[in-house]
Amino acid sequence: MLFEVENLTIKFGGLTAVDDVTMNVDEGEIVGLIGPNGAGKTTVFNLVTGVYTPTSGQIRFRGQNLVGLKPNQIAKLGVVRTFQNIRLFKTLTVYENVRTAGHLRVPYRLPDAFLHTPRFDVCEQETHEDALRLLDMVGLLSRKDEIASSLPYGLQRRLEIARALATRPKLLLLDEPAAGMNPQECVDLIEFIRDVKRDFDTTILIIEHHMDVIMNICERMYVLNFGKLLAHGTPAEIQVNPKVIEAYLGEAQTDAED
Amino acid sequence: MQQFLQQLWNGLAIGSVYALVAVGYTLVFGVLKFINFAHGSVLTVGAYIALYSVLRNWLPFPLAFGLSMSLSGVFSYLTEMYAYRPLREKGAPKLNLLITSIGVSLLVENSIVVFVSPDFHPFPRVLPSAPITMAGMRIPPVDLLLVAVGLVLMCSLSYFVNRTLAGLTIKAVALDRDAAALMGINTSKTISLTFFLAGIMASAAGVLIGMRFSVNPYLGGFFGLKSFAAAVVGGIGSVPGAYLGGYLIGMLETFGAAYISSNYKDAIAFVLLVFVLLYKPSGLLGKGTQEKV
Amino acid sequence: MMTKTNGFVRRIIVFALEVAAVWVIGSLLREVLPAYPVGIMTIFCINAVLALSWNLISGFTGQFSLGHAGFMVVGAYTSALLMMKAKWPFLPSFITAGLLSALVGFLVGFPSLRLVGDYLSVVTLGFQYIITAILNNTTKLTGGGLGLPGVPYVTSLPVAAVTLTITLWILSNLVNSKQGRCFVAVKEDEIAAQSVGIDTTYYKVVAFMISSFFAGLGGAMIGHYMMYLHPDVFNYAKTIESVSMVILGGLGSLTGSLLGAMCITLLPEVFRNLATFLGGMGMLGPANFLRRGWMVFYATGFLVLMLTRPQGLLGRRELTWPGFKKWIGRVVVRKEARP
Repeated sequence: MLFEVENLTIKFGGLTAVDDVTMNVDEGEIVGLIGPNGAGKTTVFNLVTGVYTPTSGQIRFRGQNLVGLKPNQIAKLGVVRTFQNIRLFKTLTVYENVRTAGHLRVPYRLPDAFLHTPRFDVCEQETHEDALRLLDMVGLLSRKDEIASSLPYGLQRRLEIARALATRPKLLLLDEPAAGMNPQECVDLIEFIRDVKRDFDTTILIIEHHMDVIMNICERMYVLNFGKLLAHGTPAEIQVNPKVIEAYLGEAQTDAED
Repeated sequence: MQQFLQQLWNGLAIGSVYALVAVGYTLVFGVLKFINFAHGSVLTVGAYIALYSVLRNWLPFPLAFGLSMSLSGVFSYLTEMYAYRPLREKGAPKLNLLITSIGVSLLVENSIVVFVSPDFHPFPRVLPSAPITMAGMRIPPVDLLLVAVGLVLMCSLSYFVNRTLAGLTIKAVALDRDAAALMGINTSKTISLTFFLAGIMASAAGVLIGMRFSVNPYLGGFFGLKSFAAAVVGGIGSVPGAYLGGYLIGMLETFGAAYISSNYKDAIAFVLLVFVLLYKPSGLLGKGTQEKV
Repeated sequence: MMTKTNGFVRRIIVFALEVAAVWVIGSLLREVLPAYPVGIMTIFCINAVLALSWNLISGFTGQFSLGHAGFMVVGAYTSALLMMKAKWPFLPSFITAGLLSALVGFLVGFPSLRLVGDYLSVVTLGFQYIITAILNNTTKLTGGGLGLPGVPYVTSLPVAAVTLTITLWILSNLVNSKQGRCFVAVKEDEIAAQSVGIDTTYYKVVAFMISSFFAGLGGAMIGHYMMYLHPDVFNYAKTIESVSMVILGGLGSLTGSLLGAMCITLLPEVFRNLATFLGGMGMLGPANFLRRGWMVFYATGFLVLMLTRPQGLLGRRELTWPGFKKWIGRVVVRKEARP
């Protein structure tokens, strides 16, 4: 098993935001994490990536315990995320965003940086080319010198994913990548996520509200409600699960109305 | 024992000054979430207003004191109006506010040096200088005034912030500016009010400290910084924390000077600051905050 | 691989030639020009090193340190005392001064860089007061509040200019590297930086140490220029001097720091000369005012800059030769385009 979460719980004061959640993701899967607003989905991501420390429970990635590690250490192990409210390096260019994130795969050290040694040249050339290749893949190459925050919303999301990919994650956590997208953009996104999985040989755990997106690309999904695991199964199973319909799809319909 | 009491009293006196200034830092940090480096300058301005009113025989001392407090309040309000508000409205990063406040303090300090004088002025004698002997302690009358004024002002401020509607808006804006605005609070007015109050408190401290030592252009920079340390030690954003931090640093400084070494007196506040920040970054009475992801 | 090595060797040779040229030009100017402009140029070089070092920690890494003078003073006393008391030659004393400042930078930075934003500025400022208190009280070693006279004179124009050249070279190499990009990422968004595996604490401490190292060199140069040291020379105002240079030039622009250092170094001189000139014309009142009035001008300028152009003259851009040529080209084209 690539990634396992066991009895994960976090309490904020009196509120149990994530309550005894157990889930797992196997190598090469695309797994969905859904649930109504405030169900604790993003909190699960924050726990997995070390932003919060769980009150109890275990998180294992390739058998290694992630609890207690710092966010950067977890990223280094290959668990990398995007953010619900997009956190780019806003005033840097598109290219610089991706290039900066490529640093994990650059082995040279401070003296090389001071003196720009031959080793520096080789590594820099590689990351430069890699950044361009990535930008080409996500379709941002022509806009590489634009300031990240000046991109349209949809492209900012793409850039954030490209930045995460620059670290070559083994497990990519996408937090509502389709938020704010129109149906056509959603279709593109589905295509894009499939490409990412294929080209980067990565496993994906995705939080999403857009049912069409999640039902389309996920092989399995977990449903959270009030911090608790409500159901788990294939899209077909989830769609007919009465508990899910009651808790989630009911609300999704009201969502669709506004 | 006698020396201990004497030091206790001295600590209380100097602590009152720190507390009065610290509460201004805390109030402003509460509503705007930035360190107003120009807060110390308000103290200097206050001291000079009182000094000149008395020196030139324009006003009797109590009136001069009152005038200094109100004018400094207005001055503090004006700095917000013309220096910080335009930046805030432009949505400038918080760092720019901080740097601008450094600019304001620079302007005040340098203007006084250039237009008034760079010298140290002893405050004219408005109180008898012979110390009063009480329970074996020798207490200069200015110290009595310091402690008394400090207590009165601090209690009034606490009452104002906790019990009056205008004061409660300050608390509301400090908690969540956007939510407060949505609830119909005029946040700009509240921020102005905060600066005005902070100015009054600082000016009182400035006048009294000027009487105790001397009035000089660097008064605010020096006491301001230590008072800021006091505000952080107590927990920035917390009014009682500022008082606690102020008295604590005042006490530690006097006792440190008396029983350890007077040479390191000025460093004590910062050593305490570093330790508090390491062990309880939100300060003694402060509440921790975590950035939402 | 072969070509890469050659590129490196070529760059090093070019750099060595640059340093040699700066040395020669500096020495020549020192011979040819009167003492006054040579002095100003020397001070400019020292100021530029200080501005560059502050820019690294605050402009690039976004950690607003107000204790810069604290690191300068460590460097100043270390180099001076090593030469005076331990009879070390200049170069090892000078480098040890930088290293010791970096060590102090580590000791201060490690605990305090966990603090965010404004807190850091106050802790670093507080630290500077602590250092000053220590120096004022170690009378036997440092002369304490009496000052330390008899510091050997070393900082001639060529020495200062070469130090500046090396500083600029190393720092521009650094900011154009993986580490430099991580510094900027820390400034931009710490949480995002951590999410892609950047150890923000590590990079903050590293930036702080490198910044302190060069601040220490700058401080040492001040001592070896003034031939006298006093703890109070390195006060809050000294820090603010470097801060204003960087802010004027642009936070995050190395050439901006040079530009800023030049303006701030020249400002009091311009006023002083103007005052002398007016005094010579018999206008004693305005002359007397101008002699000190630059301080108000300086502070007003600082405020106006923050309110109208907070990104400074250059923002994050750098002045480069190709950029300069392009600009000239554009100006020429614009002129020709006019009927």
